[in-house]
Amino acid sequence: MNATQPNSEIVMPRMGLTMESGRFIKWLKQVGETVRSGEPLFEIETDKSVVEVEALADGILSQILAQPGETYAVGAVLGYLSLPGGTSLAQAAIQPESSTPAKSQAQPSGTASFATPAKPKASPAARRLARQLGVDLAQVVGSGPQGRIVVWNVQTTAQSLPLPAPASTRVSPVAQRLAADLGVDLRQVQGSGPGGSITRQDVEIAYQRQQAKTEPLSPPSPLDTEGIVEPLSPVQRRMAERMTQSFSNAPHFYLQAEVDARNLVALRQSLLQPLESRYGVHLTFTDLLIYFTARLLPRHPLLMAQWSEKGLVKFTQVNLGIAVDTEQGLFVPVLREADKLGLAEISRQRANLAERARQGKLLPRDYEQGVFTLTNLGALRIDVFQAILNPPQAAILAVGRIKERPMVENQQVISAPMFTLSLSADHRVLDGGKAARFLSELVEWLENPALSMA
Amino acid sequence: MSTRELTFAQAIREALDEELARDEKIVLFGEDIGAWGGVFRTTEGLYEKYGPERVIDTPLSEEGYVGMAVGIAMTGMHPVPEIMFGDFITLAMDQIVNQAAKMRYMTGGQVAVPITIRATMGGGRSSGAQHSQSWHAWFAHVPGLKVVVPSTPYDAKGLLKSALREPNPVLFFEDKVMYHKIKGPVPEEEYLIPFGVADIKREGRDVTIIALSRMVHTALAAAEQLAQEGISAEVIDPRTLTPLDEDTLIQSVCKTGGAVIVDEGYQRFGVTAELAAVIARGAFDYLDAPIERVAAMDVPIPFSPPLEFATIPDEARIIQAVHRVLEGRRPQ
Amino acid sequence: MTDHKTLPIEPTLLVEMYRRMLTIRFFEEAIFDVYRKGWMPGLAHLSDGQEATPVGVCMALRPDDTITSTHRGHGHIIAKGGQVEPMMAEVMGKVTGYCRGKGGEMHIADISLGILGANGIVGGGLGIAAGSAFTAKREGKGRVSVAFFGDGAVNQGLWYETANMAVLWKLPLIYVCENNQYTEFTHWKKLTAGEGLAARARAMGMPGIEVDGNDVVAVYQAARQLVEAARRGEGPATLVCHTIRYGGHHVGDPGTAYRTKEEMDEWRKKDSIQRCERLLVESGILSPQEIETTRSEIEARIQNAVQQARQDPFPPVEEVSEHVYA
Repeated sequence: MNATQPNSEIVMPRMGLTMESGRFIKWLKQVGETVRSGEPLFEIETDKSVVEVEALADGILSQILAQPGETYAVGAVLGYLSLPGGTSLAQAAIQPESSTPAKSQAQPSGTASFATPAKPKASPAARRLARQLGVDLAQVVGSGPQGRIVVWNVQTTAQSLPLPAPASTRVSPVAQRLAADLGVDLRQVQGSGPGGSITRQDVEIAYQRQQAKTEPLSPPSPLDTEGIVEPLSPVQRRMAERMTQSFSNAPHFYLQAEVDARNLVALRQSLLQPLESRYGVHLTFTDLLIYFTARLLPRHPLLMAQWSEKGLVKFTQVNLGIAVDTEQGLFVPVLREADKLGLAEISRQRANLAERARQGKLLPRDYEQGVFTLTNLGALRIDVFQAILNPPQAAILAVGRIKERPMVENQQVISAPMFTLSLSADHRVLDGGKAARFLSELVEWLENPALSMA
Repeated sequence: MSTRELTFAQAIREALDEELARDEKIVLFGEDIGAWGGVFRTTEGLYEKYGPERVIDTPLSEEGYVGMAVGIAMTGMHPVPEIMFGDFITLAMDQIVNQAAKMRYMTGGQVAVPITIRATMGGGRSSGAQHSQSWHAWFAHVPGLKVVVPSTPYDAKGLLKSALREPNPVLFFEDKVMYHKIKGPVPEEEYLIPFGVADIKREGRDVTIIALSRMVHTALAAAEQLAQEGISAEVIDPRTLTPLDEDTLIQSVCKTGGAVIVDEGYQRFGVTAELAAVIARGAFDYLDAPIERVAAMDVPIPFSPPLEFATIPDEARIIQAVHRVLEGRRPQ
Repeated sequence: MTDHKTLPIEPTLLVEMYRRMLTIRFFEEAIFDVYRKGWMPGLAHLSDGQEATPVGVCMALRPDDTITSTHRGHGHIIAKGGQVEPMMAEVMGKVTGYCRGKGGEMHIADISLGILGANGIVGGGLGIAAGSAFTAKREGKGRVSVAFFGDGAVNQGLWYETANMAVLWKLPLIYVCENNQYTEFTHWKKLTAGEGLAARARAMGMPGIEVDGNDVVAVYQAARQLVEAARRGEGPATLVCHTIRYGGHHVGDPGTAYRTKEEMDEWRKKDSIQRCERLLVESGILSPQEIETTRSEIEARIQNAVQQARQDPFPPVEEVSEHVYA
């Protein structure tokens, strides 16, 4: 049975003997686009699977009626195709509201009769919102008069949009349908299926959490079994969104290495006073880590690359992000071209950025365009931790605290200052070998700083 | 601050009384305003209190006494000519438009024209086509004039007192039906309301209804009904057309996404047209529906009651307009 | 013609009247020239030929008395004490004009001199003059208000409305009709029923007097009489002055299409300035040389005013929205 009749209606096709209705998934063309016979035009879900449906005539997609997620009976009109050389039935069918005497004021209503333009009709507010949310108006079905798209149509569509996710992250159709039904933003959902894919259970969990957040605040009871909901600050919200996105999209793997810090400690000791008196900066271990890491990265450029659907994006400018813990939350200001900075300059910039972060005075250019991140929780007594990648970066180095520990040297047990480095990496960009080579060379440099001069 | 309930007419009368006492340069002119106390009783008792030198009964000479008032204003006093039925203001058009409005400008700022012209507006009493019109839009279109359209006793008193201290020509429009039908609280202490400040008469989220004069009360009644449907309407009263508080109107529509503008003047090229243009420009990216206008039908106002009421905006028409604005949209 | 032997007025006053009439005449002639050279925009409505009426009336007024003028108002303004320099500048639209260039040729005003504006609407000043009279009465200082208007305004409703109230309330208002015979391009008798304004004024309850508008002394005496009466609180009055304008309705209208040469020649024989000059010389108040000197001096002053005004700047564009409101 034909899905598109020569008279330009696009209808729900019968794809099987017993099929009576199908769930509409999405349009594959936009209103106004030219369609060739045989090209995939839209997707539907039957009992069995998601299926692409082709256009059976050449024409221009002139109007869409079907809304993603809705079920339509076989034969129901999903939209219209305007055939070359003539006006489509859609245009003839749409009449502007005519003014009748029974109407409120018996005045001409002022709406002229002219053919519907190919652009989707949307209110200015809806257009603005669509731009902000990155929603394609052609994907939106309007509920306003004469099919005009209004704000809540855009909001609804935005919520049920499929993840703009790379091919490796999947959302099952069932999960997608459930998310649309429940109004769950799939971008907020953590996937627990194979390869981080999002399952139905994941959506349900997300929904529960969402419900919990929107329930009204209840006064604290003496036993406080319910807990008190505190609305998220923008910083918290952003961190949650980004970390979720990072964790669910990028397949993380982790490498750990212990560093003998004796030479590093001595180096710092020797530089501490001169840098203070000559440059007015207070040298920290983080500064030294930045110095060595920044100079090493150009030798392992893949650590600075980033995954994209089109391919690996390579960067050469060593913009190093330093995680800063503040009262308002986590900030990651960036030291630009850190490999070209001297140690004093690194120290000065790091301190300046950290202070501004604490005061909430960071500007966008302070934290944009980082290619690698360093995070140090040593000051907070953490020995080792695995950090989540700072999207869209492919690697992040987590530093633990320096502590005197027993180690074996020349078959003797001695005590030496040591710390642990953990490198988290994006397995789409790096494999174990490449990451390990970087980390091991870094450890070498830290244990023998003079090697970095080679 | 203690208040008492006054009618619209009483509030106006009180403003005149207080200002006549405050400034001996203020003189009232009009037909039957003196000994008779005014056909709408807005000057009742003032003649007895201030005498024929301050409250002057004029012959039926709108052009004459408004023109004379222009000269009186130019030579140091503050005349207050009254136009009994706003429709008669056409007889004085040259004096208002070509003389009062332009004298300061044409003389390069040498002179001020502190004249307050009180005129009535509004239909609904089967007074016929020549006694029911509302001409505030005309004068808002003339540079050099200020136009005030109060809707409550509180607003009327505060705005009229401001007008009587204003060094420029002011057209002050009073709705006839409201004179004795609308009551409201008015403080006993002195207060002034500045021009160019709109008043949000009712806060809401889903639609902005802008209304003037008696239509404010019609809009509030409509808003009550809409609330029962779960629609929260914000009702804003601009109070003065020149100067106009554009910001308040625009901000409200940015919030609600839709506007219905209600006025008793004719619709074509009227107040609703100007306000719609202001909002279309100022709130463009926030409009979720076309702006709706509900104004008097563009026909001469009929005499027969069912016909007359068909031409004047009422609750039902406002509600229909709100429904059109919200069609296919979700209340927030 | 007044007997020059029995001079009814002060010589100095007569000389001043002569000077003012000359100023008006030369000013109007200068405007004619300026207009034709394209040195001023808009239209020019000239009153050469009508000088005796405004001068005769204004010499009977105090500085605080007010006048309203018409679209053909240069004569009224000069007669009331207006200076040719700011007048010329205003006519050219310069910022140094009386109204900073915002009024123009038809709307010159100097409130400080009691000139409540020339007016582009025929009869437009009648309401304002009546209002000024109302305030004058309230002030109680004997101030008087004069309304100048032409034969055209005689048929504007506003005259009757204000006249009615002026008589009713005994306002110190003097209506001065400069009947220069032609309402634009039509003779006034074809447009005015009955016997004319003086008769109508009397019918409305105020004195209505007619006078030779080209005899400055006669105008002065008549005006003085009515003004003093008004000062005493006796109410309004109307003075109709019969005169002629030599020019057309405006510069560009030669005035010949509706007036004959003979008619105009007759009027020129009664020229107000010539008559005044004769009177001055015959009475021995001014010698012919002094006449000549006076003429040259005034002419020179006006020419200077033209040059000065041409050099003066236009108002800055930023001023366009100033002076709308106080």
